[in-house]
Amino acid sequence: MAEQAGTTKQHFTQAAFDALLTTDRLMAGTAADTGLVSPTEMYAYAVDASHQPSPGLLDALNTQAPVQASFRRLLNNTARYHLPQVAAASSGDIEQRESEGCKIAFRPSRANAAQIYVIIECIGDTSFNPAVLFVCAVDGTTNRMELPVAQNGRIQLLLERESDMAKGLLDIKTEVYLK
Amino acid sequence: MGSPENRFLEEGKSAELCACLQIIQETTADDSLKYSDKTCRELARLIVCRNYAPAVLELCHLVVGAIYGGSHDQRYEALFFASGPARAGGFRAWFAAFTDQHKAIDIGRQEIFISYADKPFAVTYGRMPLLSALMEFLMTAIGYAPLDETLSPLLGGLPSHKQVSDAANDLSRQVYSYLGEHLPPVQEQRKSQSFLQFASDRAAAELAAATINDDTVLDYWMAHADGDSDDRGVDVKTYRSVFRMAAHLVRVLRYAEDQYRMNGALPIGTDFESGEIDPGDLETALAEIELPDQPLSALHNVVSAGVKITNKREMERLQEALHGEDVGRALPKSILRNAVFGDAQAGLVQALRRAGPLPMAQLIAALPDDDYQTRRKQYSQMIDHLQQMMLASFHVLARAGKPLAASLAIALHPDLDISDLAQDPNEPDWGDSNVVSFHAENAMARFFERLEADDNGELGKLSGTARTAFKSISRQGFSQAEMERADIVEQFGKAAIALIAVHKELSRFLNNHIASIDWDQLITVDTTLFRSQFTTLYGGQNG
Repeated sequence: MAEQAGTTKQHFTQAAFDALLTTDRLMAGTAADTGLVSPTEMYAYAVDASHQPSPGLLDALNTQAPVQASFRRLLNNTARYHLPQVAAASSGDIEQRESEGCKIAFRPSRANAAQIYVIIECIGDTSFNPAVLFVCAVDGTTNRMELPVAQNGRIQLLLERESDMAKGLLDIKTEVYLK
Repeated sequence: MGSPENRFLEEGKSAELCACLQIIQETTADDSLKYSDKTCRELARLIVCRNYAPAVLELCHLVVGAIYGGSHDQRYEALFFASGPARAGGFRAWFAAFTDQHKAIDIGRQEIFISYADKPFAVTYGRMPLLSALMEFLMTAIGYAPLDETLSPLLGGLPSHKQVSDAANDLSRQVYSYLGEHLPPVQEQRKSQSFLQFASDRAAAELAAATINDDTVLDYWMAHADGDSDDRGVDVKTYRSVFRMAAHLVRVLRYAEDQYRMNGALPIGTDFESGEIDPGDLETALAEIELPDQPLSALHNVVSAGVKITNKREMERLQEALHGEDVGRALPKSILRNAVFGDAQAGLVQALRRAGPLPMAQLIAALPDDDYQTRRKQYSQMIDHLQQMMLASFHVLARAGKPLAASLAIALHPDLDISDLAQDPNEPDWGDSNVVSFHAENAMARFFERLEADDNGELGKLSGTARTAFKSISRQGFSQAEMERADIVEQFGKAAIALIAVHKELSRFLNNHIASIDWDQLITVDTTLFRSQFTTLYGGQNG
């Protein structure tokens, strides 16, 4: 009996001691260079227009496929409007993207051919003022833009045609989310 | 696992798990750390003990609570990622803010209650910080997409208890699979073998808490430090790491001895022969073993919440001195050695990492920067500081009419006679009967009445001293305007409990455990010894 008690204590001591040392080691690790991101930050980036993302999050969103997949799903679940890929146009640039309740129209600038107007209208819910826009490319990367306040239910942007954001919006294979 | 290559592989795999936990520890919300040290440690214990399944089940119920207990257009993520720092009060406030919950959800004072058609379930607010950290872990480790997919059956309408259990089981399987990849099995961890063996060999009879002493720590470090790590990858090069290992072992052994004394058995599962440990029992035991860390952890949380009871340096002093009563008694010299020479070694290692070739002999000859007597004086000053903070907390809590003020009064003045408060003169005299006439509420009311009226009595004087102490402190949380805020008063309440415990432990450490040691002689002997060991470890290296 005493022998069994001794063995039990020995097993317990070994297990508890090991567990404490392993816990210490896990707690003292480093998050650097693993490509993992904080879910809280990823959520804030998806829903809060004023959130300033860390370089680590932006890097992971550009390079880590699992993070890109997670973020895309998060946008699907949290964005107010989702504008899917555009059906292939017969020729030339697309003129608008549309989904139920929301429309994004593109108009070339007459003053400057290198610029383009982007007009966002949320006709489904006029009380909703989108604050942030995401453009998700087929390769998994995401572009994000903080939006100005809507005037008479419309948001108008003037973008350089060669900017990543304009190119993304005009690319029929991208998907657009508004939050 | 035997070959060096396999060891390396294991280290690499574990690195991702470490990173997951590190991310959670560093996560911020509303400009403060989202999870307390205590919550992070609890999460790490769940994972290490592989006792996550019950918490995953609770988490799934909390997801249901978040979906059907919040607003109609909100998803479960909002509770976990947009409710601010993960504190019980924050979760309580989040649920209380909604008025249009599903009829199956009852928002109580201590918990949310979910009335499923088949079986009800309750989740307490106190448990929610840990469950939120677990959600964070699952999202980081498993990924949001698979997690959300698994939870999707809970989203279409109030699920049954069984559906929640099924989702929880599914998630637990995914965690099991993840940990299979990233956490070595228990029998392969055995990190402690070398030190345990050493301590056992040194014990004349059976290894016990009382057989581990300052010599065990120092001798082990002297003999093993130049090996870089022990046979299982534990850092034995730094004195600090060896000290921490010894402190853990003292606590584990003391716990085991106490359990035997009280129950005649240890809670370790059923298969004694193979040494199988029940994960739940082990985790419960570890939580109790780590209980002595809670007061300091609580103080840390109070500081994070905006009441600066300690600054960074003061907290460091407390952390280096306080390791629980058992460790304080068993390893008093080691605690001071860790403070003085542990710091010296850490500085040396940092200098080696930062700079190129260094004049190591010169650097080592200049160590340590501090000595034992200086540290003792600093700890004594911390007693004064803690007393000031207790007085200030008393002032805030007394003004707010909080019963904790009485506990602080007794802690500050153990001789304070307030026994008469228990007896209302208008109550009948029960004489020799066994009826105890003590109505706590009335006694508290009389305590505060006395505090107001009795300017020249002991309580009145205490009140005046406390007011002066509060006004003399110019730190965050100590202004007149801040002390009117309910959230700040709540933090002072938490601080009061922690301050009483920390003050008591530090007083005992100073008066009982280190008072009789000849520190002047010891620093002379130790300086020679540590310099010699540092020269062995680093003297030949130039960057």
